Amino acid sequence: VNGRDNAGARDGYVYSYFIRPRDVNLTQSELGLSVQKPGALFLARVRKTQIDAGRDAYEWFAGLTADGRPTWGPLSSKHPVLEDSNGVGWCVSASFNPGLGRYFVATQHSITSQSRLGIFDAPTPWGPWTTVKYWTDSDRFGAQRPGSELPWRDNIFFLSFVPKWLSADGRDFTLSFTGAGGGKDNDSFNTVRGQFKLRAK
Amino acid sequence: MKKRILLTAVASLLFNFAPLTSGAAAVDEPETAPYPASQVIADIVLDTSSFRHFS
Repeated sequence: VNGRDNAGARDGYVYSYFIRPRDVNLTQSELGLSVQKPGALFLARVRKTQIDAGRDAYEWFAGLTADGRPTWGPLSSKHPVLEDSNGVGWCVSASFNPGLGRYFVATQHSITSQSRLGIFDAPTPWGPWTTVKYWTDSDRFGAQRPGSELPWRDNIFFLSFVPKWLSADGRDFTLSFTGAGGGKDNDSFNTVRGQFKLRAK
Repeated sequence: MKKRILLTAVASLLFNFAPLTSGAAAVDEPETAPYPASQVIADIVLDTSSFRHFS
């Protein structure tokens, strides 16, 4: 959702990202809450007026034309819109930053609930993607937090920008995040403020 | 006889390499970002004193 009544939407469609499970024959409970490898996300869209019309109303990103325009088709024609051989998490966030004119997708990779997450940006919901930040085993999200008095565990599995709390120029943001902990520490609603450092034009 | 030797050799290879293979799979894969660095955003800086926890 982009602004009140979705006024900031790019067009009349609602876009949704879907995770590709590592095995389509497994049930949700069999898959568990794990990172799916190799990772891939699919993108579907539906007209805002048809969002409750059922799955046949949705069309799927099916790749780009030679001149870079997206193509859309039925479920059988879907093509990954974002891929990561390290995997994608079992939950994903996506948002638009109007100040920067960029779309952001965030998801974990490698192993779930270890604060190993990536943030990717693109000019459109279908890419082309670049990497904003890729927290790894040796550099985990939030591992360095001087000034914070909160106890810390590296068990984050989800983060998302909060569009309503972006500054007008898009540079200042608030991330909401959550993690494991069985009802303790990061298994809760958490926030941290931050700032984008832009490249010189 | 040659067939038996060949089968024994193959079995030996499988037996010996299987633990190595599974051991290698247990090692973390390189965590390289799948896409090049953003040409718009150089970095993000978190204000680590601003962490808030709502339980």
